[in-house]
This record gives sequence, C-alpha cells and structure tokens, in this order.
Amino acid sequence: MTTVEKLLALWDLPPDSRPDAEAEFATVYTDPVRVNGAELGLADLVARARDLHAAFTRHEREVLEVVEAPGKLAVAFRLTADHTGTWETPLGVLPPTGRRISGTVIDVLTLAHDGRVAEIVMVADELSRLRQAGVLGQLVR
Amino acid sequence: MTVTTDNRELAVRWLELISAGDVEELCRTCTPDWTMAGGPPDLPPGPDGIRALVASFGRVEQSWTVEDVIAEGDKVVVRATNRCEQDEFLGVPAAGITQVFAATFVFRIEDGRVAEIHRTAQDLQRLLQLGAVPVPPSSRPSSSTS
Repeated sequence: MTTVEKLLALWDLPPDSRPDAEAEFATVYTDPVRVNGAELGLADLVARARDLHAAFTRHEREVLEVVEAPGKLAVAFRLTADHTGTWETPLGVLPPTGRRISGTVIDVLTLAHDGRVAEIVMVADELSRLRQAGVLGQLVR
Repeated sequence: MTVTTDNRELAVRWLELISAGDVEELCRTCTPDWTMAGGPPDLPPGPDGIRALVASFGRVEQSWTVEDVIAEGDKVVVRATNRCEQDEFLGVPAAGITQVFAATFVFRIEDGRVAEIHRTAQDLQRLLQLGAVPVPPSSRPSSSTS
C-alpha cells in the first residue's frame, strides 16, 4: 500500500468504527503533526476526522494527481460526500442541507525519515463547497 | 540541466509572469490546448483561456511568493502565497485592501510548455478579508412586485 492509499483509507471510515483510531493514525502521521502551521496531536487529528464524518456521509475520494520527491509528497484529490450533519465552516455552523457536495483539496506533505507524515499544508476549495451548499447566494459588503 | 529542473523553473516563471501580467509571454509558455481547473469558470483552452484568466483579474497589483516546489516527471507542484490589491474580486469591491492568500498549483509540462494547471486557493478567505458578507438565496429580497 502506498502512503497515499494509506492516508486516504484512514480518512474514508469514521474513526469510531476502528478499534484504535489513534494507533492507526500513528502508523501514518507523526505525533504531533504540523497542519497548516499549527501543531496537532494525533487525538486532535482523529477528532478532525470524527468531525468530518459527523458532517458528511457517503464519502467518495478521487485522486487527481500524486507528485513525489524525496521527503515530499503532494496529492490532489476530490472529496464528494453528502452533507448530512453539522458542518463548522469559516462562515459559522451550517446545519445539514442534504446536498451532495464536492470539493478539491491539494495536500503538500513533508515526510519524516520513517516515511510518516510530519507536516501537512492543505489548501481546499472551500468557496466552491459552500456555494454548492447554497450558502453563498449573494456577496455584499 | 535536467528536465525536472527545467520544469520547476517553468512553473515558477509562470507565476512570475502572472504577477507581471505578461499575457503574451504567458501564451508563449503554454501549449495551444492549455487548460486550468479550479480557476475562473468556463475558461476556454489555449491562449484565449490565458487572456480570459488575466482579464478576470481586472486592475490588479499582485506578487506571488513561492513557498515550496515539488517536481516529478512531467508534474510540478508549487505552493505559493499571493499578495494582491485589485478593484474587485468576485463582484466584491476590493480597492485599497491587500488580500493575502495561499494557493497550490499542479502544473503538467509538455515539451517545455505548460499544458495543464490544477489550482486550489483560499478564495473564501479572500472574500472574508474584503469584509464580504454572504447572503443566502432564501434571505434575498424578493424581486416580485406583487
């Protein structure tokens, strides 16, 4: 299994469906892991996965690009899922819309000597996802 | 120089040309069927798409700072930060406000030219920096006169 396959498999299922989610995350991520400049413990990362699955169900991930160089890995993927739970967005908490929402994410990963992910810089197309949720009807200042 | 090094330099140069607004040089660095995903919607392929992309910025002063470059084969990933000031963004007045946002690009290079770009960027954060307030469709005043 490649690092990308391991990563995506980790996020595909709700963490609470795993016997020991933190231990499984520890096979892929260092503890702590730096995410967009902030250090997160594995428990925090598992909590993020839990929030994602609480907000969205029926996940489908399509890998668009994988680019690898020594110590670095970039993966672009499209995540499509049903918005069936409470979604915490930069605009506030969004109650479930029932809509199927698709968004592109590009993760740039820095790998530790043991091959685990030590740092993630993630840029996601949040604007497009919120548009699909019907939040951005009109923008005013 | 290796092909990978050339490709890295081309990808970084592409962002420099965007900063400079050098449309004709951008067109020369791209294939006739160039495409971009994740940029403005409905960009046509090739040079027409490049011109439409640059036109979509309107009046803008921008600079890209490259944070990270990863190259493998015909692909180059560039992670960069943009600082810009423009008249408007997505219809929201923006003059006089500096926007700072992160973006990541995946370039596919073909025979020394950019053939394809996949972009993700913090466009939502840009709107928030401009003080834009989203009004959901259900909250908009009705256009009905009855």
